[in-house]
Amino acid sequence: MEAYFILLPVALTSWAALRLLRRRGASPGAWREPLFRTLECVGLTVVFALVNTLLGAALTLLLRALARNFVSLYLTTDSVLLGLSALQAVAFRWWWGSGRGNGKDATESQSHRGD
Amino acid sequence: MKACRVLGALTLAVLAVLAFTPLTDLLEPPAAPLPRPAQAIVVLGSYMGTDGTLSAASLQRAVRGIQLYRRGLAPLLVMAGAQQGPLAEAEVRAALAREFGVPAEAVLAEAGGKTTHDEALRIHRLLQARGVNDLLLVTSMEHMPRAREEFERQGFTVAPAPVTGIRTSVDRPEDRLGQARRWAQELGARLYYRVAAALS
Repeated sequence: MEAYFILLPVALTSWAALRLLRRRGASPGAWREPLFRTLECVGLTVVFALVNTLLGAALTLLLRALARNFVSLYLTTDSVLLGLSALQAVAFRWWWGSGRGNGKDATESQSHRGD
Repeated sequence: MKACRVLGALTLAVLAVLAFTPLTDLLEPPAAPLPRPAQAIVVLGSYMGTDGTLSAASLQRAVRGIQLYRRGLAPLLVMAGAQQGPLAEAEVRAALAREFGVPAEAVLAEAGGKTTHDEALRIHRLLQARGVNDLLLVTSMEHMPRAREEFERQGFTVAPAPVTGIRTSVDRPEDRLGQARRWAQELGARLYYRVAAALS
C-alpha cells in the first residue's frame, strides 16, 4: 500500500496544473494532443534505448577484439543511457513535429491555445 | 508516429505493472538447498573500487565464502576478482579471509578473470592441478544459473551456495524496477553466453 503513496503528490500537482491551464484559457478538450505526444516520446525513448544498447554492446565486443582491452558489457546497461535516450527522443519528436508541419502539429497547437 | 504512440502506451503499462504490483516477486529465483560439503569453495568476483574498497555485492559474496569455510564445508577457499588499478579484488578478499581466521594455505586468489566465462576457465586450470572437481559456488542469486552453467561446462560438479541473509523481496516501486532490470540484464547475459557457446 505504501508503494501507492508517491502517486498522491503526482495526482495533486497534475490537478493543480490542469486548474492553472484552465484559468489561462486552455480548452478542456485540448489534452488529447499533448497526451499523444508524450506517449510518442516514451515510445521513441524505448526505440533509442534499444538501439543504443545494442550498438553499445557491438562496439564493446569490437573494442575487446581490436584493442585486447577489457570493456565491460554492463556499461551499456547504465541508467544514464536511458536518460540520454529520453533526451534524444524528445529532441527527435520536436524536430519531427516542426519539420512536417509547420504543418499539422503547429496548426493544432495554435488552435488549442486559448489566449 | 502512431507505432511509437502504441509502444509508449504499452511501455507505461508494463512499467506500472512492474512498479506497483508484486509481479517482480515471481522473478525471484527458487531458494537453493542447504550447502553440502565439497572439495573447494569458489567465490566469484563482483566489483571493487581502484582504492581497494569492495562493493557491497563483493563483500557479501566474500563473507558468504568465509562463512562456508568456517563451517567446515571445504578445505579450500578460492577468491576470484579482477585487477582494479594497483589492487586485485581477489587479493583484497583473500586478505579479508585471512583476517577472519582462514589459514593462509587454505586461501587461493585468482585475479585474472574479467568475465564469468574467464573465471570458470582460469579456476578450472587452477584447481585441476589439485584434483578438485567438486565445488561450492558462491555468487548472487541472479547470477547463479549462468555461473553454474559455465563451471559445469568446465567439468566441475557444482553445488550452488548463493549469497543469503540479504533482503530480496522488495516493496518500493524503485526497488521493483531495479529487480526487473537485473533480471532482464541477466537474461540478456545468458542469451549472449548461449550464442557465444554455440558459435565457438
